Amino acid sequence: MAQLTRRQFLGTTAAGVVAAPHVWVKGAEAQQKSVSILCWSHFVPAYDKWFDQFGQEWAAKNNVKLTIDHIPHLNLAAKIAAEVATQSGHDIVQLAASGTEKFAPALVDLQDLADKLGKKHGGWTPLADNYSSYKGKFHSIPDYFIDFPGLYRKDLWTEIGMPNGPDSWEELRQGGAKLKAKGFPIGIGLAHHNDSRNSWRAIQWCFGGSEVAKDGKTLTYNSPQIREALKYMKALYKEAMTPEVLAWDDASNNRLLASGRGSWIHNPISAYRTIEGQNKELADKIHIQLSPKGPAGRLSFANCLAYGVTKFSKNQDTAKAFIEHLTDNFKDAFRASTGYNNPFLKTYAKGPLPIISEDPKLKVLEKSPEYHYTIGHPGPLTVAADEVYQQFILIDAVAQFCTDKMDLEQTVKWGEDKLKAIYAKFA
Amino acid sequence: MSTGEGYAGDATRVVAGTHKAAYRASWYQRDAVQAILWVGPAFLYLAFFIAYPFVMSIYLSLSSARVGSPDWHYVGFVNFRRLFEDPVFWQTVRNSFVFTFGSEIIRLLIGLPLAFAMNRSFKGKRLVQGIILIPFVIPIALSSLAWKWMFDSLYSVINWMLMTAHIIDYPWQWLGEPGLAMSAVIIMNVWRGFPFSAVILLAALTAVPGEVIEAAKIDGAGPLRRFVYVVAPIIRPILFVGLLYSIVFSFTDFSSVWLLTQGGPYNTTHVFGTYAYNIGINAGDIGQGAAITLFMFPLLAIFVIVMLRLLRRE
Amino acid sequence: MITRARWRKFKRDYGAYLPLSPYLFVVLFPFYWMVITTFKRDNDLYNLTGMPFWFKEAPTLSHLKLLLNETLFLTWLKNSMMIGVFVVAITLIIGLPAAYALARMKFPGNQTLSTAMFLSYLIPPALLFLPLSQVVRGMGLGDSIWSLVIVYPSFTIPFCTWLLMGFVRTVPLEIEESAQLDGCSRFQAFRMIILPVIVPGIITAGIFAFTLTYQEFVYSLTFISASANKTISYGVTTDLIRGDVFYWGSLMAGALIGSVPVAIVYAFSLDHFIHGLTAGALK
Repeated sequence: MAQLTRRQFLGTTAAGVVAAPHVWVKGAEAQQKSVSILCWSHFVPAYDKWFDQFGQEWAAKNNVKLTIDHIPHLNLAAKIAAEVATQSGHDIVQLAASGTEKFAPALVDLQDLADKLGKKHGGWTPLADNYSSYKGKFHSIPDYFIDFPGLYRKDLWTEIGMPNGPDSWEELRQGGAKLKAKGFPIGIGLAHHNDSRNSWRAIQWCFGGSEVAKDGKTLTYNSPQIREALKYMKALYKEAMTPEVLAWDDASNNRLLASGRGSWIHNPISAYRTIEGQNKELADKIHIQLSPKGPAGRLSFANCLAYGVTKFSKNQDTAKAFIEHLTDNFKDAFRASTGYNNPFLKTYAKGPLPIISEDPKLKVLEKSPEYHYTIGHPGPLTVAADEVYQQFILIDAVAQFCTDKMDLEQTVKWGEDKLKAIYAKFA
Repeated sequence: MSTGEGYAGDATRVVAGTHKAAYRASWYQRDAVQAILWVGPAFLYLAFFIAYPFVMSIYLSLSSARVGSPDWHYVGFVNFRRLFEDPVFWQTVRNSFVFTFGSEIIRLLIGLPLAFAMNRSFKGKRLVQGIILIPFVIPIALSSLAWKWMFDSLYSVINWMLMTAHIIDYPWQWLGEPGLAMSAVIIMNVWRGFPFSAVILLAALTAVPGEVIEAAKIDGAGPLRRFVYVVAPIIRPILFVGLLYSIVFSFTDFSSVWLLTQGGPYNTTHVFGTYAYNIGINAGDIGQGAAITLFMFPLLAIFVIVMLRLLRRE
Repeated sequence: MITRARWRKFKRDYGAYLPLSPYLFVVLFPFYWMVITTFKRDNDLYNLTGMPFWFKEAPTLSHLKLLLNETLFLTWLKNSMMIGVFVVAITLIIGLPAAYALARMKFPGNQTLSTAMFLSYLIPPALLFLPLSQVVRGMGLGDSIWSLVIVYPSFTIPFCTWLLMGFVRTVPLEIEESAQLDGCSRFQAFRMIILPVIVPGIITAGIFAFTLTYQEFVYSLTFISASANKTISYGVTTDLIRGDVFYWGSLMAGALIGSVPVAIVYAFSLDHFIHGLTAGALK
């Protein structure tokens, strides 16, 4: 497995110390094109294995030297920042969650490739457009998004009369309260990590609230809908959850479910897959449902991933060719991810898709592309909206309200002030 | 206190002689030239790898630099102004001080008895020395992860022990409640750092000559007086060195708090390093991130200069 | 029959353990717990009814196997060690002469440089890493462990030089003076008089430099991408955490294997370290 990575670079005096095991100098002209990809370590390890092999097969067929570097998703931002600052690094970089606008000035305009792929596969979903567009042009090619359905213990919910789990947030609250009394609380995080800020956005949208309007500039946080959402969350926290959610990280809700104590969590199916691997008996009791709906409809949060080609790449066309090849084989990728990677292209979204269409438990996931939205909704994914996301502003407001550190009006004011401070930077 | 500079002149003047004086003159002249060779490489390192990036960081903090865009321009003190208006920033400042000085005080209080205990020979001392050093040696990233699991909301081994001993009757949310979270990061920082404090104190104690202690005992001084008036002055320089090092280390720490709490719950454990990282890299506002980190520097410099003054005053 | 003398001897040999035991406990229980976690099955680890300090299900070697076989752990260990050794060498080669010159030689800017040397240690990596990456890139060293070897001395040199300055000052000037009068050049005096005397100081500085290098995280993150080039801190935390899955058993194994050998070496050098620190700081 010990793949040593070769890097091509120009020799300098400093690199005269080159008699080192891991690095060696190549001539200035390469015999072969080389493409390097920076992406995250997928939550489903099997996907990475498939991806690496898929890449090498393509590389061999096209006489390309392909290197794929996996780093944790939390380190991606720092890594790409460093590469942009030094104008050197990978040819293809994966943009996770934060949208394309953030790095767009350093990325190549990919509209023509996007059009080609759109035509081939039925067109892009609005979510795709939102995620990859910058000044009206695609600067990255959307790859897949991670959805947030509900995972529930069918046995427990059947006991209280909801055999298909809670369909609305209100039902979640009522059912959750009953189950908590029995010792099986639900869990939605209220801490500094992804799941928390993602779930909160789903809730606020379902109540009709948002941070910003469709134009992406007008703040709408100070509204009755947000107040309703906040009040709901506090009630949910007090009645159906335990204080541990304030100390959670991304793996905590998985652990709550895996421990047998959790009755409902808001999470992609990775949690279910892990339990399947460890405790078949428990896994059989876990079912998957659509993310709950609220007074304003059913909306859930999508964590999107796209691939961009860096402007400093020396092999842009080869890089584009790989992305095209990957997109054409989305179904295989989907299968390798055991149903985790949701599609952005309409033909794929219409289905049927491997695994989820075949498994009755997972069939609900087919609907994911229809009701998932991302950071900044209903506005576009702007840098401002991303900053709000990164600084945990919305979730901090919620957490402080739920733990009675601030009352409702103070919370709304706190949130609004912070939003104003950030959005003012981009006015 | 023997310093290098003063004596050379005196000693040679005593042995005066034109021959020697001439020899000394050429020595001296060559000193300034030689210094270039001796100090040059170190100086170059500092210039290249510290001074230049530092100056760049200052420039970044005065610019509108963002992570993705190659074009930034000078914006004056806007980043700093935004910081001063940001309540989370001030909370970060408070947290950093509490974190650093809280850990340091506890480390000294814990390290001193340990140093006294170690200040004698006993069977197995080598082994004990090695064991005591383990927290210091384990890479911070890894020990932070271990502590994270030990403080876990569900599986905390600390809670398990406390509950089994009937000290608490429900699991504490170490990483979820503001006071507890700060205590948790301090506990971890203390665990990691107290071996170093103990070693420094031990070094200091071994420097105190036995006769001085005996003399003090004969004079009738009790342990406390002995410590305050005899031991403390002698070990002061060593203490300062150690104190300086570990305070700077804590103050500028990033990975331990980041891995444990990411600054939560709601910003009550954010320190300079973590807040700067989150804003500069994750949110992409490099200018503001640089401003936050830069803010640390004058605070530290003041502290260091004060300490050095106190140290020199002997 | 326990005689008075034997009791006295027992107290002398082992008496220290009484005040030491709380410390040993505090240090050891996480350590012990880490060892147990290394060998616990995942089910056992996540079992709320289990006991953290012992096994409910049979122990397993699978985490160790995962660490050693499916990650490049040994490569990372080797990288960290190699980088450590090289950085210590560079630090000493550059720092020793600088320390000597700053402590002994008169030249304009001596005082300023000493202060600058110390202050530069205050500038944290978290501030420098972006502009620094541009410097490193300019040298053509992207994504290799050599970029780290070049960059790490930037924080070991300031502190170690300052430390070594203190040690140099402890050598009585008279010895050097008489050597000079006998016709020794500066360099000879340095090599034959100063160096041998401050060996404990050199060991101290070396230990510090190695520790700082071994622990470092931010620069590894910035400059290294390929798995094979990672250092132990960076490799273990990145390859053994995938999104919401922490491979705790392997993580703990990595932490232990990565630290116990180093602790052993330190234990043996501790006497030098203490002696060096004592001499060095008593300026």
